[in-house]
Amino acid sequence: MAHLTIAASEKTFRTLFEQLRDNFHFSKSDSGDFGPFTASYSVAGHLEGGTVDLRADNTVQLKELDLVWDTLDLTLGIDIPRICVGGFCIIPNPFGGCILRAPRICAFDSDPDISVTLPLGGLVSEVSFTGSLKPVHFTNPARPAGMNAWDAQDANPSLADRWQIFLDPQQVDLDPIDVSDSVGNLLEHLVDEAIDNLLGWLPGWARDLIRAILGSVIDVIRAILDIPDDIQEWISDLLNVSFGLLDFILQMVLEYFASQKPLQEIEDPFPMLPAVNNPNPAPPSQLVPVKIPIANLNIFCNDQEMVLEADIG
Amino acid sequence: MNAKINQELFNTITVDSGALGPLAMVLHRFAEPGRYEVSVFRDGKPAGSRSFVVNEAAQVGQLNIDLSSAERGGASCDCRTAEDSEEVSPQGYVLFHSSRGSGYSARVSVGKRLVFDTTALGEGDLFAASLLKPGRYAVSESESGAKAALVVEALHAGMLKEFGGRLEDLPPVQIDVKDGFQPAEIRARSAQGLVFSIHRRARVVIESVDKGPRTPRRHAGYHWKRPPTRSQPRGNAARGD
Repeated sequence: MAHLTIAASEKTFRTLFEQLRDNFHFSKSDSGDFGPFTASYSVAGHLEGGTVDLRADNTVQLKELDLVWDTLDLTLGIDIPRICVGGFCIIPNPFGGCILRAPRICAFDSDPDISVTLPLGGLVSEVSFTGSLKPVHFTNPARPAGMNAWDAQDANPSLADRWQIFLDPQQVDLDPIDVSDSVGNLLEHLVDEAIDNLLGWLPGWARDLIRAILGSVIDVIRAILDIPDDIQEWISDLLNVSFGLLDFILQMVLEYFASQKPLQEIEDPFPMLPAVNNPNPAPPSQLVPVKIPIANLNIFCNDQEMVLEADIG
Repeated sequence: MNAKINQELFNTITVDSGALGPLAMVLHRFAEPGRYEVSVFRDGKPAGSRSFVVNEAAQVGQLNIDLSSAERGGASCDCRTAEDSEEVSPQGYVLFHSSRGSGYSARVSVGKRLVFDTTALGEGDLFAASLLKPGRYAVSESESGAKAALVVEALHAGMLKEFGGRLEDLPPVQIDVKDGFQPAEIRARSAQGLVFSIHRRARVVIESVDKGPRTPRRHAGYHWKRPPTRSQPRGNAARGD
C-alpha cells in the first residue's frame, strides 16, 4: 500500500487543464514551389474551450477543443499567361485550319507575376483527444553534482528535481482546416485586384482588351493552378496536405501535452515544512525545511477524481 | 509585377504598309527560286540586311522576317545569323514585320535587281494589320487616293467565347484593294485582324481620326541629300571672272 495518497476532484483537474490549454500557442511560416505557382503561409493560433471528462477506465477525454487560427495567411504567387495580340489567320485553309498566320506580339516582355494573399485567419479547427496521466521524474540537469536538495531548493531559479504529471494523448482527432466556401469568390476578387494593379497605368479600353484576352479570371487561375471545380477543397488540401499543416498541428499538440508542459509539478524531495527559526536557544539559529523524498509516484483517475499515490523514501 | 509592358503596342494608332510597326505586316510571294537579299530601312534610312532562300524543295510555306531584329547594329552591320539561311517554298509567303519599333520597310533584290519593295505593294501582295485602340480610323491608299472608313469596336470579356476563347481564332476582316477599298466601310473589333488583298500598286495607311494625341506618321520615303564637295565652284571665281 502506498505511503501517500492525494486526490484532486474533476473540477480541480479542469482548472489545471485550463491553465495548460491557455498557454498553448503556435506559429509557423513556410513556402513552397509548386511548379506553375509558388505559395507561402504564415500561421499562428491557440486553443480555446473544450470539455474535460475523467473516465472510469483511467483515461481522460478532452472534447471539442477549439484550435483557433489567429493568423492564417496564404500567399499565392502566380505567373499569369503572356497576354499577346496578333496571331490571327491571314490565309485560311479552305479545308480547315490556317495556311498563314500573323506573328504574335506580347504585351509584356515576360510572364507577369501577381501575388495574392488570402487572409483566412479566424478559422477554427476542432481537436479532441483521449489520453492517460503519465508521471515523469525530472532530474534537473542544471543542478551541480553534489548539491543537496536544500541548496537546490534555495537556488534561484530553483534547481530542485521534480515529478511531472503529463496528460499523454493516446488518440487525437483533429479536424482539417476547412476554409469557407466563399474563398473562391475571395480569391477571384483578389486576383482581379492584382491584375488591375498590374494594368493600372493602361487606359480603360486596354484593360478591357487584356481582360477579354485573358478570359474569365477565375478560369485562368484555375487553369494555372490546376484547380479542380472546388477551390475551397483545393485550398484546404494545399494547407493540410501539401504544406502538411495538419501534421504540424498534430505534432505540436502531442509534444506540448505529452512532454513539453506538465499538468502539474511536484518538487522532489517535497517540502513538507518550510525553514523556521530555531525556538531553542542552542544553535543552529534556523531549522532547515523538512523535505520528504517521493518515490514510485503512480497516477490514475476514475470518473470522479485524479488520484496520486506515492511512497516516501 | 516584374514584367515590362510593351507600351508601343498600346500607343499605336497609325499603321502604314510602307512603314511597318507592331501589328502591321506585308506578305509577298517570291516565285523564283534563288537567294534573296533584304535591305532593311527604318524611317527611310538603311538599318541592316539579311537574306533568305527560295527553294522548290522547301516545305516551309511561311517565312517571317522581323525587320526590327535585322536592324541590330545599324546599316554597317552584317548581322546575318543562322536565321538568314532560312528557306521558303516558291508557293509560300515571306512575311515582313516588326516585333519592336516602327517605321520599317524592306527592299528585296536578287543581285542588283530589285524584285520587291514593301513601300509599293503590287498585285497578289497582302497587307495585314490589327488595331488595339477602339475608335474611328481613316483608311487611305496613297497611290490612287482611295479612301475607306474603319470603326474599331472595343473587345470585352466574354466576346471571344464563341471563338473558343482564343483571340487568334477571331476571323480577320477581309478587304480588297482594287480601284478603291471593298468594303469602303469597315468594322472590326479591337485586336481583330484586318487583311488587305492588294490587286494594284498600293500603299495602305490607317490613321485615327478621333481627337486626342496621335502617334506621328512614320515616313518610309528614301531621303537623300547631296554631300558637300571640296571643289564646289564659288561665285564668279567659278566662271573665271
